[in-house]
Amino acid sequence: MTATPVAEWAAELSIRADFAETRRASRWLRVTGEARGVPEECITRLDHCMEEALANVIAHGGPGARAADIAIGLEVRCDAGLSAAVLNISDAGIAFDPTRAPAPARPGSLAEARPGGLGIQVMRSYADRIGYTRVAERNRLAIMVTW
Amino acid sequence: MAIDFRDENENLRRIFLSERLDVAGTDAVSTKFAALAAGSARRVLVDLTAVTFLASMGIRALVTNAKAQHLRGGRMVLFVGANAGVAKTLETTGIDALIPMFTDVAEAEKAALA
Repeated sequence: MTATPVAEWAAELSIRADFAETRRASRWLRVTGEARGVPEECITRLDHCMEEALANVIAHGGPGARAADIAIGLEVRCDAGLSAAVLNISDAGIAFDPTRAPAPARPGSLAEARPGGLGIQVMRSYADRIGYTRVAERNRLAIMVTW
Repeated sequence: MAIDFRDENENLRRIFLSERLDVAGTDAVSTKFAALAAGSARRVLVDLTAVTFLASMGIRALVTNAKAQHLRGGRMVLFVGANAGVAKTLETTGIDALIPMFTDVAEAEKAALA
C-alpha cells in the first residue's frame, strides 16, 4: 500500500458525523458500488476502510468534525485492463493523515494487549492505496481498491 | 438477535455473535456480551461463523472480554468456521495470536477446555 495524492472529486453523499449514520453510508456504498460494477469483494474491502475512517473522524476528529457533515464519493476507473474504485471521504475534523500514522506495536500476549488502535491497520490491510490531502481546513482521504 | 448463547456443559459457554460487528452492531451487543462472558462458565467459545462484518470496534470487544476472562482465570477462544472474511481480519490485526482462533469447532472446544 502506498500513499497517493488526492484528486478533485464530487461528493455524492453527506452524512452527519455521528455513529448512527455509518450504516447509511455503508448501504449507500454497497448500492452505488454494485450499480457501477465494483466486485462484491472490493465493495467489502472499501466498506471496511470506510467504517474505520468514519469511526476515527467521529471519535477523534474533535468538535470541528462533529459540527460539519462528512462528504463521501465513489469513483470507478478502468484503464489498460486495470479497474479501480476510489472511495473519497472529506471531513472537517482535526488534521490527521492516516498514511503517516505509525503502526501500533503488536502485543506479545493477551495480558499486554490494549483494546483499540486497530482501525488504521484494518484500513491499510484492505486498501491497495490510500491518499491524503488537507484542503480548506478539511481532511480528504482517497481509498483505492483495484481488480 | 445478534447475540445468543448455549451452555455446552457446566464448564463451557458458547456465545453466538452474528451480523455486523461495526460500531453500531458492537454497541448493541457489548453489554450482553460482557455479561455472558462473565457468567458462571469460566471457559468461553465465541462463535463468529455468522458475523458478516468485523470492524475494529468488534475486535476491541473481543479483546476486552478475552482479557477479562483471562484475569478471572478462565479462557476464551474464537471459532470462525468457514468465515474467511472474519478470519482474515483477525489474522491481519494479529488478534489470532492473542486469542486462539479455530476453523474446527471440536478443536475450539478442546482448546477452550484445555
